[in-house]
Amino acid sequence: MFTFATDYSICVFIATVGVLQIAVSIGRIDGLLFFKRPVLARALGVVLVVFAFVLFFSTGPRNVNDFEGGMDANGQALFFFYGSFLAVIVTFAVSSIVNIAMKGREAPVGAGLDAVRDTNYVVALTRSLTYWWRNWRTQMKSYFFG
Amino acid sequence: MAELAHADEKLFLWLNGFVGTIPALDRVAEWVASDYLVPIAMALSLIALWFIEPVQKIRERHQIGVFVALTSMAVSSLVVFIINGLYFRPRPFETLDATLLFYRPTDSSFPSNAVAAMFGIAFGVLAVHRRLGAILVGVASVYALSRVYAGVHYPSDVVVAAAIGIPVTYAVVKGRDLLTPILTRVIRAARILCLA
Repeated sequence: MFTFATDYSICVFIATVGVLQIAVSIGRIDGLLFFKRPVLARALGVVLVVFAFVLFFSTGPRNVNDFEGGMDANGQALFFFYGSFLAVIVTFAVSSIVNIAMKGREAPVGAGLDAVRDTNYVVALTRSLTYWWRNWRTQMKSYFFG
Repeated sequence: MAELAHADEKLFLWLNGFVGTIPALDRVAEWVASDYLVPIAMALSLIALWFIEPVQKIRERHQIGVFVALTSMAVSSLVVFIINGLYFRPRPFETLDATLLFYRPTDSSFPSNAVAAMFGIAFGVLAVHRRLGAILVGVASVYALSRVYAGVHYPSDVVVAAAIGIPVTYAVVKGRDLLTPILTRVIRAARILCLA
């Protein structure tokens, strides 16, 4: 039913969600965790990564030449981007819902991911964009001229 | 030169001769040697490298390292592409009595493009994160070995491919300083969206 590229994208999507949970739990970016306990997030991450590869390799022949239904390097890069980009969006959305009550104090300008330590992603993004909307003139100056 | 080629063939036949002795190992080798398992794992490790460091200053260095690794991969592939254009070596399964655990590629065997790309990433990561980089070099080595075991490459194809990654990454790391101001701005822009 699914094409090779779809199977590949699904594998990348699931594995990326898993890797993100492992990485943000180690990086202590708590606002992106699906569980409050980092150990659980890491366990979920490992399970998702293993599941993604087992699913991909057990649902059809994967040693296939690109002109016989497999994927060439460009196709892999493109579909990897699709799958991982979607995984990042889904991680941000789900973690923002799960951590909806997580609204820490305002982070300093340019905090980036550090702003998501004690605040969920949507709130941190809204605060950052609001700040930039109000102060874009001064910020652009410092951005380009240090 | 002929002796070297003979030794290469002998080493290939010795390694490939183990195919069929342990069916489970063959299955694992099919997965590892495939175009998907290790390349996806390498790319996932770059995503992890982007997020894994709690300290912003070090995280920024890692994030620049992600760009270094990708550039190193691309340049390694380019070098292999040029060599492939100048010299064509038939695959070992075409000239020797080999057991194949892979599809039948039609491009040149020497040097291995996939292995060069993986070592390009691994050495690129090694330049900024020793522990993760060492793991990735190990993974790339297993990938290279599995490609010989699976019958798609001679040992010299993967050794030269790995060796290409070293000077390429060195050059990319040295050239990093030229691109750092641009990359730093890209990362600072990503911080506005809480992405870096």
